[in-house]
Amino acid sequence: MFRAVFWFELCFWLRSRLLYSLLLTTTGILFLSMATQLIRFRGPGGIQIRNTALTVQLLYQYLSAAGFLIFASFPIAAATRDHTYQMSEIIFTTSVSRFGWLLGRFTASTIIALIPLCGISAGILIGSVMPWNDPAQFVPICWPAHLLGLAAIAVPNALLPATIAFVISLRIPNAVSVQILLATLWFGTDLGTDLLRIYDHELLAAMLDPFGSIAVFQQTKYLTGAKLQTEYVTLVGYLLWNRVLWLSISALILAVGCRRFQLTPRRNRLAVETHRPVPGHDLRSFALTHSATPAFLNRARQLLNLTRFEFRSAVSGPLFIIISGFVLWTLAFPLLRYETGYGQQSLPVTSAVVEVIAERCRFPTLIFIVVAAGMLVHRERDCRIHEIISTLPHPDWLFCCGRLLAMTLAVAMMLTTGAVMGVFSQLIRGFTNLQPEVYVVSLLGVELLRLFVVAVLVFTVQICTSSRVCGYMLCLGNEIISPYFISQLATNRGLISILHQPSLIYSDFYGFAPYAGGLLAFSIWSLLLCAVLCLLMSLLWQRGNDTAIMTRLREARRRLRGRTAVAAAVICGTTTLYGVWLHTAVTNHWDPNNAPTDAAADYETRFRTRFENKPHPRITDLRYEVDLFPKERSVRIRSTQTLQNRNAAPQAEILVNLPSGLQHSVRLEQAHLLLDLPALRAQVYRIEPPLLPGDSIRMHCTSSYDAPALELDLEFRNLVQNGLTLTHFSPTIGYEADRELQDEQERSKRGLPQLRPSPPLDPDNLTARRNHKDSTDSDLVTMETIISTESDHVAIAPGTLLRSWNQQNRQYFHYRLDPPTPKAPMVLSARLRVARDQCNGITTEVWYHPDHKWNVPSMMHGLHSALNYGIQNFGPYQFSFARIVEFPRYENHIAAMAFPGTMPYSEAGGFITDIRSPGAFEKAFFIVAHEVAHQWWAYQVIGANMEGAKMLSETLAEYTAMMVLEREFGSEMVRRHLRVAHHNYLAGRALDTRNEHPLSRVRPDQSYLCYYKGSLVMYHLRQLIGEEKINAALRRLLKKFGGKGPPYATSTDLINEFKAETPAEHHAILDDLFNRIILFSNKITRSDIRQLPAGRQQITLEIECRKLESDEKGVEREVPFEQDIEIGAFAAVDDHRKYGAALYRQMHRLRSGRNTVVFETTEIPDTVAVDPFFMLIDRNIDDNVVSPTAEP
Amino acid sequence: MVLSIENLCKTWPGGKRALDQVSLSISPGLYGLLGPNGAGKSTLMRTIATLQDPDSGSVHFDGIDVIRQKSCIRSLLGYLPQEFGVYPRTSAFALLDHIAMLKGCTDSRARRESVNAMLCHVNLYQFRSHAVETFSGGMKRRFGIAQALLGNPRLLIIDEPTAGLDPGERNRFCDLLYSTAQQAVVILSTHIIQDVQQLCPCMAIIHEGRVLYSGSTSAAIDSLQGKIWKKLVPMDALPNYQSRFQVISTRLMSGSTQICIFADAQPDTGFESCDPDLESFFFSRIPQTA
Ligand SMILES: Nc1ncnc2c1ncn2[C@@H]1O[C@H](COP(=O)(O)OP(=O)(O)OP(=O)(O)O)[C@@H](O)[C@H]1O
Ligand SMILES: [Mg+2]
Repeated sequence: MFRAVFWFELCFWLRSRLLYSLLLTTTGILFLSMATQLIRFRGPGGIQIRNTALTVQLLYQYLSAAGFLIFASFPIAAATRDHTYQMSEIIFTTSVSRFGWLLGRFTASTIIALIPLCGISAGILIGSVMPWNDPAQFVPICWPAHLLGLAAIAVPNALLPATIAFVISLRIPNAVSVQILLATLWFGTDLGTDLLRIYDHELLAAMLDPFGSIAVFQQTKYLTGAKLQTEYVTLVGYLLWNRVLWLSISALILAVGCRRFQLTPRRNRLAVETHRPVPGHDLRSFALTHSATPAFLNRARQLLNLTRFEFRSAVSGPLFIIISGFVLWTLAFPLLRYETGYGQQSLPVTSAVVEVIAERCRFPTLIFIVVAAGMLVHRERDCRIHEIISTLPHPDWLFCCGRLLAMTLAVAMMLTTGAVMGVFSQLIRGFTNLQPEVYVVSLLGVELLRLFVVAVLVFTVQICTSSRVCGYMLCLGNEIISPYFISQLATNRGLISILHQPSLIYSDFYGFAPYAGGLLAFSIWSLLLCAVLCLLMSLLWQRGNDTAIMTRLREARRRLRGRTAVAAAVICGTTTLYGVWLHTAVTNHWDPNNAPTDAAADYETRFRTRFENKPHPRITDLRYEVDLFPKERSVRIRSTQTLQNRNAAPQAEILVNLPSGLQHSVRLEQAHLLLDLPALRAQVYRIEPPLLPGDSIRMHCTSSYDAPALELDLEFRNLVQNGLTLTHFSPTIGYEADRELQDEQERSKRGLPQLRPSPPLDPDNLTARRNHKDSTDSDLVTMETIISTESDHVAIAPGTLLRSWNQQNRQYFHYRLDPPTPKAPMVLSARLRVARDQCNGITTEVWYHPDHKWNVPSMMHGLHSALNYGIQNFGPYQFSFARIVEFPRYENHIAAMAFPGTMPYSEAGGFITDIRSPGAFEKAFFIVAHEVAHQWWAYQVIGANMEGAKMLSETLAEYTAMMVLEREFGSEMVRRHLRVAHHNYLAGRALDTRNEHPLSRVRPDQSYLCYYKGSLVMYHLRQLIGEEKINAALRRLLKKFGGKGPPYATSTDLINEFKAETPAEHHAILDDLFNRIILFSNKITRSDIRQLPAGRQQITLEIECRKLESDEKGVEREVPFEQDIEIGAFAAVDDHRKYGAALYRQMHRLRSGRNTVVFETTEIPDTVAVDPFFMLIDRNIDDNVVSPTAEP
Repeated sequence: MVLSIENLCKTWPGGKRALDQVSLSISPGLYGLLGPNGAGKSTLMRTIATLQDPDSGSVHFDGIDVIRQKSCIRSLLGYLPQEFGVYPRTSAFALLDHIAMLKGCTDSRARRESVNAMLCHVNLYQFRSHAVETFSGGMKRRFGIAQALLGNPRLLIIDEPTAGLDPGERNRFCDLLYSTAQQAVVILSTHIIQDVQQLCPCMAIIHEGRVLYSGSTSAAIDSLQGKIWKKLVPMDALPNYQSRFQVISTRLMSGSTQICIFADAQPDTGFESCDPDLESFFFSRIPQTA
């Protein structure tokens, strides 16, 4: 019996087109990803090679997890087919045996479901041998990786959903419901394992993740460079156990499911037809009274009625209920514990909450739209009522419009549910500034419009294809392909695509104001295009039985008559006119045909040999008169820069670079314009007579910007009605290497040489040390700024406020900055409130948005603590003022910046951190301390423009901030920072596509080094030699370089100072820390406790230690070592800390290989650890900590 | 108000000719369509009901081109398909109300009254709040009849309306139909020949897509007067008779078989003349393949 069912099923599927189209699709996608640029899967660690063993496995991993619904659809079809085609009454009354039927169907359909997976290897193998491939991007085929990927990763991953789906659909014989249920289960477990990871149960998560992705990640995380090309995942450790676990679960589910299944057809009929007497109903004629209302009113009522009918049935259907449940579930966690790194929470400010809701809802609502569109468009056909409904005299547009509306309403309901959750989460966290308008505009305006547009597109696709599967496929393909093509179209042609809603960043400062016009213009545009699509849909709406495309087109032509034709003409005409207007009147920032790339290349070829490294006059003094018009988003700047010839030879020619965006007109005294290249934003002047050494001239420039009346994506997100900021707005002098074309491919296309790395670390390269890292045209400058702005605004620039006055209803502010500091012009204008204090004779200020007062005291605290610490330990602070200024959240990733004495701090940063709970990380404090530290480590000691410069600024600022933090809040707080730094460093280096450098040679793009490795290294150093010695070294560095011009400091200078303070025996460690890339792999392999008399415990640890040195490509080799490493034993945890009270902490000398450590404690420890606070960089820190076992 | 069908042809992909030069002219009143399974009745009715386009030929109703002016004809049309399903989780009232709304009745009060009246007519009023998907076969058929009759259509096309109805409901239905037929063109297809004989003054017989007969029902029966003969024969002699005469029906009767044959004169001794009915007409026209 089994064999008959099995073969029948197998042959059934082998005849189906679905199987082959899936196989072809997988093969095709993988082929394209290997052999073309159309699709690129991001390889692990941003690696350029396309077919590494690991990539193959990760693709198996990813596609088998992502395609779970596809694998499930075969067994689902096998289990429900009899029911769907109403064959069950026939089949189940034959003599087929239960197990024969079940197992035959299951086995055959599952085997079929696995076939498309083979397309992965097929696509990769075919794609990687194409003759046009670049051989540098491919490595030889690694068969074990393919095999393991298929057998150990993909097959179990496909088996689980297949089994579950099969078993569920035995109970619920409805394919769509089962798929939705399965999807929900999947996302649920996904989220569950995510939660486990967040709560540090990484290993449990690795076991419980049904797709093994965490176990795979465990094996591959933090791999770098060379290892990424050769390593692959093997079936050991957690992956093995994970597979065993889930295969057994699959088997169990199948067994239980099959046992409980009975071969009885399902019936749902009204039990008894009772013949009750008909109530005395008025047997009037059943003629429908056509009321005398005008036709259009009738139509409107029909639309309304239909929308209501469809909405009701949509929201009572399983799809809506399951997806809404899922939305609630995904929202519950982030809303109740709204986190932003460091494990600390942010205050639930409305803008942030709304962002979370929009982001979390986007995916489920999209799924809802795609699935529901497929169901709604084909609903009549699915229910087999289409022959009745189609012949009813309703207009053709009624169903598509009504259903679109109903679906949009359902989506709006989901978003509203999200919003209610959001409000609720705000209220229970005691936050009452609810800002309903932000909810409404963001969710029911912008987000709903975006989803509506998607809904219209998906509907159109479904209606045009007239086959649901085709429609789904197209929507899926659209997800992959359209972003590519549409972005090509949009960038190359400047067409405004309806999928590319302009981005919108709400801020409490300016609300939606700068975006409103563009968004409105865009919304009208997309709604008009939607109207055109609706027209198309109503022409193609299927109303007969004939689905052939030619018949439908003929029918569409017949429909396009009379009033429909008029409506079509009006809609298309309006859309065209509006489109023409939009594309001409609205400023849309797109770059015709690679203009900026060409300009950058042109700049380099014209000027590099002529000006690079040639002496040019230096800017010594800056004077700005800035008129800000925030309401109009306009700026007028008059600048006067004094240029002095500090070289030995007279200067005749200078290159002036103009900042982008603004309109500039430059006038250079005693000089005339030699060359003006507006496309390059560069000018060359000749000074006549040449500028003699020591002489100065002045450069005047007026710059202006007026925001266009209508703008889709803002060119300047920082020019806003409230909170306007401007930095780096005046012309610069000399060749700027930053302007060079950065993309190597584009460079070679244009015949440019390879991009030079930033100048290597070389303390003897005095030419390079002539410039500091932030500007090449000045050393230390004095600066004066006069700003005028709206009368209720405060304007801020670096410097002491000399005077403020009101004139012609505008407020003026006059700032002067001395002593001379590195050039860093900045102006800001906003309606702000101030908290003012004094500290060591310095006026300290925190300027903040009136609604964001929560963390102002903490910031003030940070400001004072950092100032005190710096003054006590490093040397005097150079200004009479220190101010923190809040600025709007234009870019969420910029938390804070440092200008001389003035530190802008983002609205999305520490201002909304929730520090009310006792375990919160003091982020507001920490970042303020970091920025204050820059006043020493950027504005006093200035790094030379070569590798390692960022170590002088960022690493030292991190160090200072850690010390201040420790002083105020204790070392536990610092350790939380270090834990994050540890992860960020390892994750960052895995993503570095170029070489990793040792810390002393950090490149400007390697922030994972200067911040995170820097934090780890400096804390290690401080444990090694102590804070006082480090500070003594820093003081000497300050004395040598502080506030001085060239030659600027290098990281070698700093390391030499450290060396002078470090005892000779630790010099090797110092070298490891700064000049090498060292990783440890420490692991406790055994831990025993033995009771001693008098209540003492003897603890014996067996520790395996390895020290690895990595080269810049990531090739590791083991180096022998002998070093003091801390061993700790801790009591049980009683709060949010990682460890309980320390029972034992001592350095032990450990060496490569196996070590045994014996020590005694007074209590039984809960955990013991080697290097408990992760001073050493260890890729796997989980095995450093164990719970000891008592000896029998 | 005449429905005129001219030279309608339809060939399915795969080569099956479902309609072959069908021409009919149908005036108000009940019109029956007879034909064996697969004859093309439903195909013809779907074509008239705007559900599918013919390959060639035309259909006009009251000056409206049914194939080109679909929306005009739909407002006059009531259609009951041979098979249909319903929306899940929707009560009889809600669904009928929905259909009435789609038929253009937007006044909710008037609509509710008509819908309730209609439900009474088909004897489903007491089940109006039950989901239609839980109805029995006959009840669902009645629901289908109700929706087709809703709104006083002037062109009513009903495909096998009586299939699955119990005798009582069938009588009710016949009455209902009879009262409607006065002002409308009603086309019904059925396999129950008595229905046609009772109800339809005119009818057509279709076989393999071709019209074998169209015209008055009584004329059809009359044309057979004196041409139908019956005889009791032993079972094993049947093949012999079948090869010699045009046997139009056989019926088992207490161990032997009564056969009816079609012949202009008494073919043989032992045959006796019998009264023709529509069934004999039907079988005399349809080539028997036994
Ligand atoms: N969608 C279709 N595709 C292909 N052939 C079809 C289709 N629908 C009907 N046919 C064929 O057209 C012929 C006429 O079918 P139709 O349904 O009109 O017959 P009918 O007279 O209504 O039969 P019955 O009495 O069984 O309902 C049949 O041979 C049938 O196989
Ligand atoms: Mg039929």
